[in-house]
Amino acid sequence: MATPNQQRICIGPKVPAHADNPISMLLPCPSSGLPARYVIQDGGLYEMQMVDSEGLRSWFIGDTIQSDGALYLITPYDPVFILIPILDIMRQKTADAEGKFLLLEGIFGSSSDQYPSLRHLADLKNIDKYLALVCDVRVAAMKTYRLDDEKVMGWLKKKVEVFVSKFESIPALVDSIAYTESLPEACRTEAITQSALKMVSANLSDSWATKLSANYQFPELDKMESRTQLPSMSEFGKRSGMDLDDEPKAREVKKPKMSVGQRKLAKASTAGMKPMTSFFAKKS
Amino acid sequence: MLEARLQTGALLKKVLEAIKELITDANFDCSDNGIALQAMDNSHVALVALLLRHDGFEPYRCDRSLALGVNLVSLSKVLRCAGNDDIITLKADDTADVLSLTFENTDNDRISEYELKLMDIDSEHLGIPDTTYEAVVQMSSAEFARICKDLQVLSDSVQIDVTKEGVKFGAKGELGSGAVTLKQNGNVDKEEEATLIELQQNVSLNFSLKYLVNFTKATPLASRVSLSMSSEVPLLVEYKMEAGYIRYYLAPKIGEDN
Repeated sequence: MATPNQQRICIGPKVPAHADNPISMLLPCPSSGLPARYVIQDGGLYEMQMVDSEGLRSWFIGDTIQSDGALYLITPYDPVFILIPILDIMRQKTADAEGKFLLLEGIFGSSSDQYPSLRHLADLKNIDKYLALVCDVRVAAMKTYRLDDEKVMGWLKKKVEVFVSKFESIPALVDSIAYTESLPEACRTEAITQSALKMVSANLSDSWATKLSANYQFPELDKMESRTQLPSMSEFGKRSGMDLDDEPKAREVKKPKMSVGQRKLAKASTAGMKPMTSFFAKKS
Repeated sequence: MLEARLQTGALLKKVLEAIKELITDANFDCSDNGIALQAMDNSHVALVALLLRHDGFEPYRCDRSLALGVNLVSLSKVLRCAGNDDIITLKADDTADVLSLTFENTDNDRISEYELKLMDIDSEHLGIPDTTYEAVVQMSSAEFARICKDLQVLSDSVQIDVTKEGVKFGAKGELGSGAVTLKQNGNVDKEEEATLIELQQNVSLNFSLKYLVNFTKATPLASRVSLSMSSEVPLLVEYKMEAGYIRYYLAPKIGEDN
């Protein structure tokens, strides 16, 4: 798909033979707001991730060597995650106004100078349906959209549910909560939800992630945690009427971290002995 | 990631006992060749180089070189929780901030798992060239430990003289003087105790006894020790293990008693 000196090793979805050339672009990452690489092909949105070799590896491709050893991964990405922060800004919500309804062109057309590629999002297949998932839609002569907080929350919660329902079928996810194996079923169920919530939140800005997590409680897991947390030493001290906090800490800092052998060596006279660095050269 | 399984846990315990008396923190540099460590003592007049070769572990896996920064006192404390017959498995991820240790006691199905926090340690590695030494003495490690300990009573430094007849350790101090001489012998019956000398040239060098005594903490690791000397270069004290070595280098004292 490129000239030989621009080869890339990339794992991605199968591309149909008649497909258009993919459009690669920078869009604001929904969680950090920083530019990230995305690809649109055949009306679908894909996220591109790079496993950087940090210049330490290269690829052999046929008879050529490509010095850039990075591996690119292209995976389908739900456009709604990208849309939420954009719509959030565009509606210009204030404390006393819900904000503006906007035309499709209004949302993506007047795109900021930083992300000229936003206009490509309007070409996504079913973009109106995606928008409708999280927006109030007004149909007059033209369809207009405005982000609706409740709809967003509803959609995000459903997203979490989907993750929960698919959780057990993905071994890597099951491994990630292996610590719950010996815990009661209720704990495990909560751990799954918590893990799904984390995954969804990874695609949200902090403010949305906080709002979303407010909908979930994990009483069983909290209980486990508090059970494993031991009272700190200073609490024992207070109970017995002593204040252990001040003195010992000060003493701890002074305590030399040397072993017995080192303390003995500290007393050894090194007169007439040259340092090792005068015999052996430092390696770069 | 690193995964190294050591059949005789006692080995690692002894290694730690041997180096923790000399240095506080150090990086264990893991590569496909094995686990190595190089560090200088606080005064920079001594250096320890440790190598545990990959074939000493079964299995040994290290996909990518990584440096595990460890506080040796903490590690040796954790290792004290392992039995001498335990199988010890060391594990660390490439980006890990902990070293996990698993101790398995095959007799009574006891498995203990510990995680030790790692630290970032700036370390400078010194390039130590392969040298031909003027004198190499191979002797019983227990004998060497005893001589160092005995002579410490008299002085802080020892003069080591090597001739083709034998090796003489001498100390002179305020309360008197003492010397131990070991004759070169090819004692076939007691190979472990034989003193063997390879000599290009006679040498006579002074070393700090406190440091030598410190090095003899490695005695449990090997029945033999070799002392390699040339004038005005560091003494090499080497304990060879089945799959690896622990080497101590010590700068000679120059301008004393000479």
